[in-house]
Amino acid sequence: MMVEKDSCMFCGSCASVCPCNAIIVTDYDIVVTDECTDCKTCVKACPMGAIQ
Amino acid sequence: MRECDVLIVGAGPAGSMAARAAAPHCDVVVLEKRAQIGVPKQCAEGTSDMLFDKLNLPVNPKWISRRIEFARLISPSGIKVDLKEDRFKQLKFGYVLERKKFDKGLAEIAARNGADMFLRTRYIGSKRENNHVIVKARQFNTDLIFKAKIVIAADGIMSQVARDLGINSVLDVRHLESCCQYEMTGVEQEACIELYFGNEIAPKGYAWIFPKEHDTANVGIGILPTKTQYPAKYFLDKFVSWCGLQGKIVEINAGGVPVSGPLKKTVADNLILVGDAGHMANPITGGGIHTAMLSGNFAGNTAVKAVETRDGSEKFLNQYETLWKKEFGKELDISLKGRFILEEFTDQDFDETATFMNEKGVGQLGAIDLVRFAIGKHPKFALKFASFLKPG
Repeated sequence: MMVEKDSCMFCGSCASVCPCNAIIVTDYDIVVTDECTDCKTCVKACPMGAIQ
Repeated sequence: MRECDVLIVGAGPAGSMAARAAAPHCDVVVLEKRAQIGVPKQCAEGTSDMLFDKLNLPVNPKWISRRIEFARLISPSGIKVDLKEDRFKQLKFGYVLERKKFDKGLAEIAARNGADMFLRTRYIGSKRENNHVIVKARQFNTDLIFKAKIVIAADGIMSQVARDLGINSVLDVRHLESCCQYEMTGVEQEACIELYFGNEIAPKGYAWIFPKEHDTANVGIGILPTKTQYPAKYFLDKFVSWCGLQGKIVEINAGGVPVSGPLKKTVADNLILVGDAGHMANPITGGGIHTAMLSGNFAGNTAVKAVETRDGSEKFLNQYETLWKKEFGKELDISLKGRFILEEFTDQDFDETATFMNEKGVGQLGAIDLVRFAIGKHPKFALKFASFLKPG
């Protein structure tokens, strides 16, 4: 799972639906931790289409 | 280590209302991850005007970007239904706010009431310890530790606080309304909010134009991402060109709205969830400012009682759930049922419903009329309509 940071608005939609709690969104950064299982739930959630 | 009575994570409307209520009576700390309050907005900024009386909160005119007099629903083929007076009030929109000023204004009230504000302070984690909660945070480059009797989670849709203290706040992606919005100039509008429905325009959601000061407006869209392969931004760009809006984009916003209805459990030992953290947005309109502020106020008052009686147990804090359920529990329940009905609407259903509403005269449209309409035109909705209307 890849975040295109240049398109990210840091809104946290992805983190709110992540079943593994693997996404940390801060003010101007987004980090995907090792907990990620590549389920791609976040890909759907992103309003900007910024996650592949 | 900084000891306090009540620690609130998040200085949005829910957190600041909780702080406003609690700070005159006990030691309150507010943590806000951003350096500025109310920025960026993740919201269409519409809310109810009656809300402020309920909260005994005088409205500062600077918070209001535009007063709204009615709402217009637009069906896929362009049939307009104007909702006025009582019907309009049910939607709970009377103002379009300027969230940057509004959120900050509420935080200022909380601060003046004595709340200790920590900005640019990132919540890191928390754990329970002997009827207290130890909270770790980081302000600039410094680690901070707090010890609080009650923690109020006002940290929004991705509430980390709830998760750390034992409430699973993960939102099922089927209940996430994925939203994108442009604030635009050159959008001349009446004092009317417009909601556009249709499966091509906004799959399982709606598009909106909310007028603001002068010629600006919030033009946005919310979709259920599980029902389409394209992101919200794609539909927004399509909507803007379909409407023929010629203005310029002066701000871009994105965000998720929880349309699941409220979490089953909004309290735990030493913990209260408010606003989006408790998934309290209205599942049809997506509006969550009124429920955030009301729940925040209830949470602040309940936290004060818990501190005074030295009882932060879930059992004691349950009175908070009773309060918010009495105030808006029914609204959220009915709206969730309504959302499921709307999700089954075809474009033709939207058009026929709009025509029916206009023929009947919206003002005279009672619950029984809608049921008759459903049975006559749409047998498949009849039962659902009936269950939707029963609690009202």
